[in-house]
Amino acid sequence: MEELKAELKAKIIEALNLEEVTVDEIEDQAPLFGDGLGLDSIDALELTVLLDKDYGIKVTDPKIGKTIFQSIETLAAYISENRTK
Amino acid sequence: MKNAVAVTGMGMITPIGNDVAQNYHSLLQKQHGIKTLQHISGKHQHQTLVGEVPWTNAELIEKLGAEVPKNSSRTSLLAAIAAREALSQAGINVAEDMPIVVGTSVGGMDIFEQHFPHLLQDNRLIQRRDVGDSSRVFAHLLGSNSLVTSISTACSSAANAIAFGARLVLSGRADRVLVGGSDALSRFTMNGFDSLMLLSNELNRPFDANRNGLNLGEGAGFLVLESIASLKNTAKPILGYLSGFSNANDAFHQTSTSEHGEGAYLAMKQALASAALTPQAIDYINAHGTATENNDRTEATAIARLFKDQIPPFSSTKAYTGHTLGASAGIEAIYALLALQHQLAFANLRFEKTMDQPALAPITDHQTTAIRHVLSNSFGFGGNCSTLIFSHEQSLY
Amino acid sequence: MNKVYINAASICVTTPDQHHTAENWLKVDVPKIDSKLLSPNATRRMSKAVKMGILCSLEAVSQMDLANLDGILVGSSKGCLIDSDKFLQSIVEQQEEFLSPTPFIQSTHNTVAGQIALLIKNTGYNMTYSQGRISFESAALDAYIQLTMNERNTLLVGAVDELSDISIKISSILDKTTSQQQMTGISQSEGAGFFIFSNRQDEHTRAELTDISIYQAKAKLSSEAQLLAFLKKNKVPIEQIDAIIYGSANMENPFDASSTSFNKTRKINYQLQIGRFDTDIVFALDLALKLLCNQTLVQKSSPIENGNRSYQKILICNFGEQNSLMLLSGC
Repeated sequence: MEELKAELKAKIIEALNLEEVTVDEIEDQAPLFGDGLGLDSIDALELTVLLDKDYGIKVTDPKIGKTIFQSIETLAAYISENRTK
Repeated sequence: MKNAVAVTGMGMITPIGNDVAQNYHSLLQKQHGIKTLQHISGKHQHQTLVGEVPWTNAELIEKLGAEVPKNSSRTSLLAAIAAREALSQAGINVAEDMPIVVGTSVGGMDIFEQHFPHLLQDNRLIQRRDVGDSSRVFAHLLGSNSLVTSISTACSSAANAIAFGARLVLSGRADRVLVGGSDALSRFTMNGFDSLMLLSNELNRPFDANRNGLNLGEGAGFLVLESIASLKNTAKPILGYLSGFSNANDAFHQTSTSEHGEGAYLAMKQALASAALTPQAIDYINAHGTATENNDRTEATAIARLFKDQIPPFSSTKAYTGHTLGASAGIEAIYALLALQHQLAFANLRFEKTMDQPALAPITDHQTTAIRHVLSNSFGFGGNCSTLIFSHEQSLY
Repeated sequence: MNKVYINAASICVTTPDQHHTAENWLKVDVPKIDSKLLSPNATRRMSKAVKMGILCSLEAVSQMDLANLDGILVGSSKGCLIDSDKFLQSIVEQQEEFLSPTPFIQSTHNTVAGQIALLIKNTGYNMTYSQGRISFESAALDAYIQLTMNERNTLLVGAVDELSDISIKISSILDKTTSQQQMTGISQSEGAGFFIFSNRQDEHTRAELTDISIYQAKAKLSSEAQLLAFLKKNKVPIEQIDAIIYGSANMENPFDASSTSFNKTRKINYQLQIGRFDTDIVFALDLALKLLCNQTLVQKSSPIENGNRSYQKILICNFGEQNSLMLLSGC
């Protein structure tokens, strides 16, 4: 799981163009949206694409994203359970 | 009304008809034009529900009966057909000494993407991609010798084109203008909207509580606007008046709209002010109503804010045509004018359940009612909100 | 009818030094945006066009009360080309699967105008014109009419066009013949320019935009006749024009032997300075403002010497399939 979390942090930085953020700066439990990293609805869509492309998980309802993408912790847990790649 | 200009010509080609008469007939019959994509190959062909004009480019060129430049964009062809009908109705043979203002989001992307990146070894295709080029090509087909320009503000493009054309007339810089919008379906936009998860896999349901997205469409709609003063001593029939218009920005987010629909509210409010009308004067609203969760909720919120407890009958005609993007305001301007001409507000198809918040419902059947003024909304990405108001001749003064 | 003033200007273009190379394509070196001005979170999606537009806009509005800004108008011929190319390429390479929405959103032409509005929280008029080489002038004409007719009072008007590596590559592959640069001595470049147009004169006013006109090259009158008609309409005799600043779609000299009326008028071909991009006319406008305010032009290897000249009236011409004319007057 730790490996997955580190991998996710790196992927998120790249996919969302977070140039000034390092992997170490992203805490596992910190909120990704709103405060914390300050991601928005476009980022949620990008993360949905990432889930599909890299882990084979299709999220068709944009509202589900709110729970899955809460933090690195929740995201990693969801991927572990549902990944097909 | 100090800001009014006369409409003397209308022309269109859409998924529900090749001209104004056919479109009106389809509206009357509650006949929509949305089915699975036919003409563009790839992932979406035979899968994605769209409003498609049922002619290939070759067939459109044949309809035009004119020689067109090589690799002309479908956007240009649709525009030429619609504009020709409008000019003809206005008794104009050649678009001379009349500025042309076009709203479009696709421009020539439809033809460019087909040959990207090798471009058939023809570097002239590079130019085709430009928004301005598709306007230039169709203006040339109409014999234009004056200003031709294009506005590209996503889904509000044609409304803004109509407003700028009106401004040219009101300022005295032109006695008459050709204005409207055109957009062809393209792989670029279909994939774009798909990546934003805004497309529905069902027929769209504007304002319905269970709506789940839009169906894209294509088409063109053009008007001839003329100065009232220049028409004084002519017998030219006036189809209606553009009596007010405005544009405002939501300034909230790139692709979603603010909770209170600030941009939409300001656009409607300012358009009313420009027409010197109170909200109570509006008898029918042709809503933007794309059937996305976001737009319909915020548009309804803005309508409720402005009209309070006197909400006029409203509907979205995108239930018939799909969302024709840069052309939508041009097409819907004509539907607004038809409503005025026939004193008929058009049904919002496939509406079943009212939203929770705000609890506003569109009309679900055609309504014969006295219509003096129609308000038409068009809202685009980048928070771009535009409103046009059309008035019946007898309600002008 | 109100008069129209230009109260601020800011441009972002290639430097004269860059033009010493014989490069066909010259890019602007966009300075990094101060994180105090704009957080990295806000700028991370911004393409070059958006960044140039924002930098110029922020400078242009820096001396005014934002509450007085009634709207934003932008001209761009190719829009956000980099993101548009990116999305197109991903469609081809990934066969319409796993497409990232960001480049699509960023590719819409009105992204620049929309982002500026978002940044300065402006809910006013917001317009984007895209018509090749007259994109800026279309925006300027709209602003001019609104201000003269008192529809609005103060507007931010600008233009931007960017180069894209993908488009450059395609272009280079297709056009193996002699490059534009070698043929004309003018490189393809990119840039932006933003101005504050207002019907209120104030202490920052640089000049008056006396009139603006756009006409088709194949219209009934020849270019020379068009210029003469324009000046006559504004009651300005040729002798009062201190300079004609002009650019064109290609290198053809619009003032050839047959057009004699302007023989004695000083002419400045501004594209020699900054290269060619579709909305390069913004540089001409900025140059005109500098000359009218009698700013000394200290630019290395600039073909424009200032001397003790005083400029009162400048005509800006843009020649192409559609032509534009702008008459600027000193205040």
